Amino acid sequence: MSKIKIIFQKTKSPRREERRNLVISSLAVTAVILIISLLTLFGADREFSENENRYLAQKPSASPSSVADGRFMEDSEKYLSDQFFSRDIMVQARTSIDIFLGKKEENGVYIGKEGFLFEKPSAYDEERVSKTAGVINSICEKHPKIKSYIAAAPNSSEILKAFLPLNAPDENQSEQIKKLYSKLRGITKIDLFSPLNAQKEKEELYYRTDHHWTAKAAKLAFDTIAGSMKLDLSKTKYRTIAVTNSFQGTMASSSGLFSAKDTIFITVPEPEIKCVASYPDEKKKRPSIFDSSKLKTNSKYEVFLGGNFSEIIIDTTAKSDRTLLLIKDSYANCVVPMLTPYFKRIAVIDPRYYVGNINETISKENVTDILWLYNTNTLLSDTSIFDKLA
Amino acid sequence: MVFSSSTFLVVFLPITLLAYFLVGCFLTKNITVKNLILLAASLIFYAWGEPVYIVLMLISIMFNYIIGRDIALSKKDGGKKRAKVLFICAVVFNLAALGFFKYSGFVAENLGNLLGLQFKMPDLPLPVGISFYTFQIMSYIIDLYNGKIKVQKSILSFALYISLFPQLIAGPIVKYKDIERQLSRRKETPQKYAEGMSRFVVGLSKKLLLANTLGSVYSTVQATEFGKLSALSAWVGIVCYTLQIYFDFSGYSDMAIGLGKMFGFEFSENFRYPYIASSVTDFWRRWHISLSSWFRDYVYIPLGGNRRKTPRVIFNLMIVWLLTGLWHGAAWNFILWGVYYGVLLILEKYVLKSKLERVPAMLRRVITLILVMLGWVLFSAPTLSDALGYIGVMFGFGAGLFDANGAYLLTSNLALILIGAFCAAPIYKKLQKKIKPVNLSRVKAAAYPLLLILCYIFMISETYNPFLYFRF
Repeated sequence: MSKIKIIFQKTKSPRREERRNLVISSLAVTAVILIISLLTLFGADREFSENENRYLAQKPSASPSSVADGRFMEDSEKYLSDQFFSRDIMVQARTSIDIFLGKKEENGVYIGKEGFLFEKPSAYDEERVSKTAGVINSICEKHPKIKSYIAAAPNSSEILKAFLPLNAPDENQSEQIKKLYSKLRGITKIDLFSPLNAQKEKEELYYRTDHHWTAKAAKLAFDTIAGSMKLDLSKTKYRTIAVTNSFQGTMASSSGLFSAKDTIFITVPEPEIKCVASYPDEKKKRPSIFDSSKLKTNSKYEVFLGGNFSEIIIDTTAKSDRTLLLIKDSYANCVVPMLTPYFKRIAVIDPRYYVGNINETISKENVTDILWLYNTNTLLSDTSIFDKLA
Repeated sequence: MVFSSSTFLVVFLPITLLAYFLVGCFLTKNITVKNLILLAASLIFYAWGEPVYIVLMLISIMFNYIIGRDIALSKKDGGKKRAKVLFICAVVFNLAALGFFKYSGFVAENLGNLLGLQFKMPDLPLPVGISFYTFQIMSYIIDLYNGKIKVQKSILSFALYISLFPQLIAGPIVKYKDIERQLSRRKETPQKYAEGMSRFVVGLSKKLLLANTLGSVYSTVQATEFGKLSALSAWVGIVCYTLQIYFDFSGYSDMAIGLGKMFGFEFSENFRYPYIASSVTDFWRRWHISLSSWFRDYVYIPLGGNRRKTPRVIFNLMIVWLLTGLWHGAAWNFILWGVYYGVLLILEKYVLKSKLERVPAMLRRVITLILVMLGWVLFSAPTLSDALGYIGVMFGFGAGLFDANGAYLLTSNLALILIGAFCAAPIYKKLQKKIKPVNLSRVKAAAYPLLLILCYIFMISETYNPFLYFRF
C-alpha cells in the first residue's frame, strides 16, 4: 500500500514524471538496440534475395591484408546490412513511407497511378541519334536488294502518359522518333505509335511492374508490321494464352515496390509452327522458342526466346522462301513467335551482345528482309548499334 | 566507422555499452578500467575506418604527451627558453602533419600552376578526423604553455582525450580545459544515460531520416546541366542542401554529445538553431560553435582581437576567416567561402550595424538565411565556375524561372522540406511552452524507440541494391 502511495506521489511532479519517462524510454531504446543486434547477428543467414535478384553477402573472414586495406571492414558492413534482421520488410516500409510523404519516384522509377511503374524516358541526344541513323543507313545501302523495315515501339511513359505522376518530367517520344526517322533513307519506316494509341483505352498494353509491352501490344505492332511487309495473314489465326499471373518485373525490382503482380500472356500462331532455335554462342539447340523454365525464376519475361542473346537462328516449318534478319532489343522477343509462319529462317541479332560482322551474316544467311525492332528508350540511348554494327 | 552504419549499431555500440556499464560501472567501479575500456573502444573505432592512419594518430598522441610533459618540466625548472622551443616544436609538428596530409597536394598544384611547373605529390587520402583531433591537441599544448591548465601525467587519460570515439571524427572540437576534470572524475547516472541516449537517437534521425533524403534531392539537381535547370529547381536544390548540411553536421554533434553523456561526459553545444540567426554574426554564434570558439581563443585573441585599431582588427578578422575557410578543405571554393564570411562580418561590424537595427527582425532573418544559402552554393560546388553558374541559375539565367521539372521536384519533396524546416527551427520548443498544461513527456518517451526503428529502416533501405541482369 505504501509503495503504491510513493509511486503515486512521484507522478505528481511533472518534472519528475518527465525524467522517469525519459529513463524508461532510454531503456526501451537500449532494448531495441540489443534485440536488433542479437536477431541480426544470430539469425540464420540468407543466401539469395528474391526481391533483389542477387546473392547476399556472407560472413567475411579476416586476413592481415584484408584488414590492412580495409576490405574486411567494408565486407563486414555489407554482410551486416545484407543479413540485417527483416531487411526486405524494411525496404518495403521505406517505400511506403516515401509514397506517404508524396515522393513520386523510387530509384529512378516513376510511381504512377493505378500501380503502374514507369521507366524514365530517354532524352534525345542529337549526336547519338545521328550515329545510329548513319549505321542503319549504311547497312541499307550495302544491301540494296534486301527490303529493310524499322519499327520503333513507344514506351509505357508515352502511351500511358495519363498514368504518370503529376508534373513528372517526360519526353515526347512520338516527336523523338519522327526526328530519328527523318534521318533514315532506303528503309520502310513503320509507325507503331498510332495503332497503340488507338487501342490504349481498350487493352492492357504495358505491364505494371515491368518496362516491357504486353503480348497484346506486341500483336497490334505485329499486325502493323505485317501490313508493311505484305505478309499473308489469311491462313493463320492467333491464340493468346496466359502463362503466369505472378510476374513482378524490372520496375518492381528497381523500385523495391512489390505491391502489384502482372500476368504474362503469350500469343502464338495457329496452326502451330514447329521451330528449332540454335544459340551459336552457347552452342545449344532447343526445340522451342519458349523457355517455360524461366517462369519459375525471377526473370519471367525470359520465357520469350529464353532471354537476350547475341544471336539466335530460328528454323521453322513454314512454307516460305524468305529469311528475316531481326535486329532488336528485348521488346521484339514476344513478337518473334508471331513472325514464325512467314519465314523459313529468322536470324535474331541483339547488337548489345553481338560481336560478329553483320554484313557477313546478311550474305551468309541469304537474308531477304531486315527488320529493326526496338523500343524508343533503347533506340535513343543505346550505343551498341554504332559501336558494334558499324 | 560512422555512427549511421550497421557495424556501429549492431556490433560496436552494444558491445561497448555492455563492456562499459557491466565491467566498468557495475563490476569494478574503477575510473582506470572505465577509461581503458573507452580507449580500447575508441582505437578500434578509429582503426576500423583507418587501419593505417591509426599509426599516425598514435604517434601524434605519444609525441604530444611527451612534449607536453617536457614543457611542464621546463616551466617548473625555470627553463623558459627551453619551454618556448619545445612549444614551437609541438606547434610546428602538429601543423606540419595536418598541412602535409591535408594541404600539400593543393599547395603543390597551385604553386606548380603559378610557376608553370609540375610538382609530383603522392596522392594521399586525408586521414579521417585529423582536422578535429589536431585542433584538440593544439588546445592542450597552447593552454599548457600559457599556464592555463595542468599537465596531463596519465598517458591513458591523454590518449583518451585525443581519441574519444564520440567526437573523434566529426567533432565537436572539445578543448582540453573543458574536459580535463571529467577524464579522471565523472559520474554516470540513469538520468544522464537517458538524456544521452535520446540525444543520440535524435542525432541519428537527423542524419538518416533527414540529411540523407534531403541530400539525394540536391544531388539530382546538381547532376542536371545548368542550361536545363530552372530557378525554381535551383532554389529547391539549395534549400535541400542547406537543410542537409545542418542535419548532417548537427546530427553528428548530437550523436557525439549524446554518446559522451551516456559515458558521463559533458561536451558543450555545437549548434543552436543557426538558421533563425538575425545576422551573419549571430549565425556564427550558432553554427559549429566549437570551431569558431577555437579560432577565437587560439587565433583571434592572440592576434590582438578587437582591442586593436580598426585596420588591425579587420586584418585579424580576415586571417581568422581565411583559416576557417581553409580548415574546411583544401580547395579554392572553401577559401572563397571563408573570405565571403569575413567580408560579410566586417561589413556588419563597421558599416551596417546601426542600419541593421532599424530593419524588422523577421526581414533580417530572411536576409541572413539567403546570405547563408548563397554561402552554401560556394561551399558545395565542385569548382568555382560551377558555383557562379549555379548562382546564375538561381537568378533566372538557366532554363527560366519556372518549369515542370521544378514543379515536380518541389511537389514531390515538399513534405520532406517542410518537416526539415520544422525541425531546423525551434518551433517544437515554442509549441511545447504554449501547451504546457499538456504533458508531452509520454509522447516523447514513446517517440525515441520508434525513431530508432525508423532509422534502421532508412539505413537498410539505402543499401537496397537489385541486380538487373536484363539490359533494357
